[in-house]
Amino acid sequence: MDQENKYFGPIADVMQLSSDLFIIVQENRIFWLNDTALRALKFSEIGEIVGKPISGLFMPPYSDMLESIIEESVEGKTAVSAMLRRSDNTSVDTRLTVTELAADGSKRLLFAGQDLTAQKLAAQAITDQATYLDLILRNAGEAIIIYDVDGTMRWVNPKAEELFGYTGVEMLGRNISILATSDSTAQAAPEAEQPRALASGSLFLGEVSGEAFKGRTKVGEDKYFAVTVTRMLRGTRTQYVALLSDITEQRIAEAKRRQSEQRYAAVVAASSDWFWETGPELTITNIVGNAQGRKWVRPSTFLGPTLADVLAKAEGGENPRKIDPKTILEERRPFRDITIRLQTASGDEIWVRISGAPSYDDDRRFLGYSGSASDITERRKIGTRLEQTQEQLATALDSITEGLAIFDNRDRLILCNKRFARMLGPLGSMAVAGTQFEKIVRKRLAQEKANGSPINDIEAQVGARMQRHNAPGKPFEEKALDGRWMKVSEFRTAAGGYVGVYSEVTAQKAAEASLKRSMALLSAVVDNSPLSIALKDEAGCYVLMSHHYESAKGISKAEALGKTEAELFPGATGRANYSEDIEVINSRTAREVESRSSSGGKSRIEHIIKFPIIDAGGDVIGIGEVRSDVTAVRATEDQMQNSQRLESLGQLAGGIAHDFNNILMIIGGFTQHAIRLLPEDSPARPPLSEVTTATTRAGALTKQMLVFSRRQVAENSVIPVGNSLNALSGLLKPLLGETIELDINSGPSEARIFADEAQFGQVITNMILNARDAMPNGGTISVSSALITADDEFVARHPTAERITYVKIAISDQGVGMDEATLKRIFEPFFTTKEAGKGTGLGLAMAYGFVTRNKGVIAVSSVVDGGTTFELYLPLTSQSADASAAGAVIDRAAAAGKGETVLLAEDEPAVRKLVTATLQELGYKVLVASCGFEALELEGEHEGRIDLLLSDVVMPDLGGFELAASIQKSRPETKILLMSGYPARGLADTRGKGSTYTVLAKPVDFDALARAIRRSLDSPANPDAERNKQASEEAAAA
Amino acid sequence: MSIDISELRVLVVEDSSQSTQLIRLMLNDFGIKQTYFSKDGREALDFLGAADDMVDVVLCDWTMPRLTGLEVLKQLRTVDGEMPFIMVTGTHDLAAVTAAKAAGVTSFIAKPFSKEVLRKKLESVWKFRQAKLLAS
Repeated sequence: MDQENKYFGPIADVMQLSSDLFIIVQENRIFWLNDTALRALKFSEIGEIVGKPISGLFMPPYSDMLESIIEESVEGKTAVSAMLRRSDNTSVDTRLTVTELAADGSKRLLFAGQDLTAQKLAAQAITDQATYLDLILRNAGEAIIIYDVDGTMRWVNPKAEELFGYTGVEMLGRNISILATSDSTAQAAPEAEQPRALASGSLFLGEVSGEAFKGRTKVGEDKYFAVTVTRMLRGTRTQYVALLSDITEQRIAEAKRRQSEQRYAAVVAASSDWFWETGPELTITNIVGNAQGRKWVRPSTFLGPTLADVLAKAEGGENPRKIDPKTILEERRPFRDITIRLQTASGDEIWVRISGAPSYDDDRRFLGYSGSASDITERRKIGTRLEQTQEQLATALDSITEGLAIFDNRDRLILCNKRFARMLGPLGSMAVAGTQFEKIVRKRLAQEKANGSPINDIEAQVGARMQRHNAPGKPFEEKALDGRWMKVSEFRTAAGGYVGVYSEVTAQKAAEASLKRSMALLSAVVDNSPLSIALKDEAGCYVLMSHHYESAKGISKAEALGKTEAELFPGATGRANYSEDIEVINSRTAREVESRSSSGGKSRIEHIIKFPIIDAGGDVIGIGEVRSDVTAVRATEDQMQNSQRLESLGQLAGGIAHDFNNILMIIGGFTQHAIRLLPEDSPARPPLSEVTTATTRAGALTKQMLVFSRRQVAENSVIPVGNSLNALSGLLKPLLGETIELDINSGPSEARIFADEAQFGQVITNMILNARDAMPNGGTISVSSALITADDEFVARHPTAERITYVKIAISDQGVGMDEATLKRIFEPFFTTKEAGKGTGLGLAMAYGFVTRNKGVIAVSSVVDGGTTFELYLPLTSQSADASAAGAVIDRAAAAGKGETVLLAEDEPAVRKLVTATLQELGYKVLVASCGFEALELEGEHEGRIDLLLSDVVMPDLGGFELAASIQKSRPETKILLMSGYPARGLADTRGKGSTYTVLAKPVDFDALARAIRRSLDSPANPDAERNKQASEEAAAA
Repeated sequence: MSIDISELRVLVVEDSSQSTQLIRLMLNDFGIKQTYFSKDGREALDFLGAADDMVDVVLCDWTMPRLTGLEVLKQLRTVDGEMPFIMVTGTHDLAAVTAAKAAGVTSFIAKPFSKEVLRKKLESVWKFRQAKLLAS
């Protein structure tokens, strides 16, 4: 480039100074271009482009139209629009004129044009200018040295290094006087004016222009230079800039200049700038310029006035040194970029930027000033608009609630709003143009650390932040110094800058955190809830569910969340559940259902509540669902209901039985009495015997009722179940008929229960007979016994069961079976499926009462037409069978009285009379009392022995047990026999007494009474222990 | 075989002071300390109304000037169905006995009565009372 510079000399300098693009083409190849062009085309080095075909520099279709462009432009001297190709393949808009540089006969073309893009980007130009200047200084043909007032060199350009033979390092910091010879003054340009600055004794101190100077290189070679020194104020500091050019070189350049005067004119003509000249008296004598586009400006505007007049119109703004133009001109100083405002003939105002320098002839005579001027009206307008726009922008930016900052491509802050400054808190002063982004980050982190944030390595954090900054991605959150949380969104601009948008999310963040907390809490509560809970959103999608819910539904959170039931369960049930959800949402009302399902042979009942979740605003925001397994509860409830029903029926039956027994006793007793009074051959005997038989049957019936109601007096003994079943089979076989087979499997011999054997026999008999009745066409009845230890499942199935060993007695038939409804009522008294008159409806009721009373369990299973199985579970007893318990038959004679005295206490007159008559008939002396007190009176008054107290258990004034206890106190030898139509209560009343008595159940038939009295009287004085124990257990059971 | 009945508390309702005298002597002989005497049925009922828990048995004459023994019994039974009430009567009138039984009399003593008879009656009352205590 230096070569070319040398070749073109000052023209090249002018071209370099110009803001226009200049491209010189030789043989259709690029020969040279100025820096403006280089920059506009985005090349960093001229070498990158020189030698390449010119057509490649044009974007299509201009590349194809090149010839016509050249032709049109050269011939018509008009500017044509063209798009040039940049190194990065983007385009730049230009207006070009093409000039043939014909002076030296070479086929050279000069393309001159304006970068229209550059004009539009006025703001960018500021940066550009700095780069431009730097570039110029570095690559200038003159040596440029910047030094302090004391001569210390601060900056040198490569040319200075070259001319003086020092490296930059060797020069910087040293005094500029090293570059001077001792006789600089004497020998420097003797033909020129004395340089004042040198005359003063200090090198270059003070401004000089074009003075001759003799310098010395590092190797001691003397050189002559023309030197221009400009004073520069940097803040409060004064520095000087010296431009030194080798005079020999200048001479060559001058020659070149003369040679190419024509070219010079052509260049001038091609430029959008004007070029002007003055005479030595400073009157503007010549103005040339491209009138293109501004024909309204007549060059004559400038003709006539002196340069001083023109400069007097300078606007201060762009003349930072504020040096009076007059002084500049008087001192023959060059000036640059002085803006002046002019009035055109049409009255419009235009702004012109003018630069100029004095010119001398070879004999250093002042010829006048020459320079360039360019119309910057448009640029100014753009600038003003830009300023206004920027102002509006700033106002707008300040008024938005988000923090906003714009950085340039070197990460310097260009613009920010107040909000951004506030975000920086105490570092708000950094929010000024020019601050480096990284600096802000570093300071902010340091401040945070000072504020107590746990930051260990600030640099690492800066690095992390910068990494994020350099490759902006998703918005992220950051805590600002004022404690607010910000969402930071960063964008890269097309020009390589960066825009940061900071929106405050403190409240959002707090809400999020609190939401997070409540969700976590809710989640924990739900998770750990023993219930099956789920929450769904307003679309029916799962949001939350408890562990129990997962297992209840057989789903997992992972698969279920975010899905509806219809999506999770593709079947009809899923759809139904989903539409239920939607109904709950739409109707805003809760739904409560009980759902039955069965899987793996187990049926399950679930209680499901679905309810709408309504927020404070009254909107339905979801559904809550709570499920509970109520299978066991329902089963227990059913069983409870059943037992309660049976219990109340039992009470009713018991109540009736009590009164009924008294009546039966009277009927039966008196009938028997009457029979005994009649002669053997009396015709009244047979009918009366029928009455007795009927009374006995009625007695048996009430007995069953009492067993069912568990009020029957039980004479418990140890029953070997197997033996008992075998004995029964013998008795029952004749009753079953030929078509029925009875298959008894008596089971293990240790299967023993403690119960009333008569009742047990009755129960088994009833059930076998029921089985027979269920098989009208014959079949097999299987009866078996076995030992079963209750496990959890058994206890769950039978809530009244305990975890003990039971003797299980199963009775199965192959009969018609029963339906569900029948099964439910099967144990109710008087419930029968048999024809009227065939059954009493008490058989199974009795079985139920018997089993329940003995703390057992009864179960039935049946299939219609598939047979029925009854299972009785009775607690296994460890006692061994008591042989003596087998009742010995006492004949009537043995039962007769032997003249003993019996005190009878009975409040019911009829019974009293009957029993009195019976006792007298049996040969006893009877003391008759109608109440407890009377009995005590009689006992007190009776002088002789009282052998037996026969008392009703229930009397209005005094109970039989109390009476008995009272009498036994004064007469311990007296035996006691109690009677009761309501024996259970009587037994219960033995509490706290320690004594136990035998209680006869009413109605008591003659023989039974006779035997009982006889047995009591014949028993030893102290009741045997076994009987005592049995009785206590009876009492406890009741 | 004699029972200690000294703890028994007795209210005697008797208009005749001679009879009262006699009964008092007998009760003293039995060792009974807590005895109350009233000559008037109304007065006796008032006493019972205020302090029936101080009395275990009432010995009441059948014939008295203002309220008869039967009327005393009937009124007593309206508030106390269990208080042993022994009617002391000089007549063996079946109708009277039936009426008294219907009214809830506990027992009778026929005048004239011996000390032993009275003792037997009171022993019965004592045993009855003990049996009742047991029952409760």
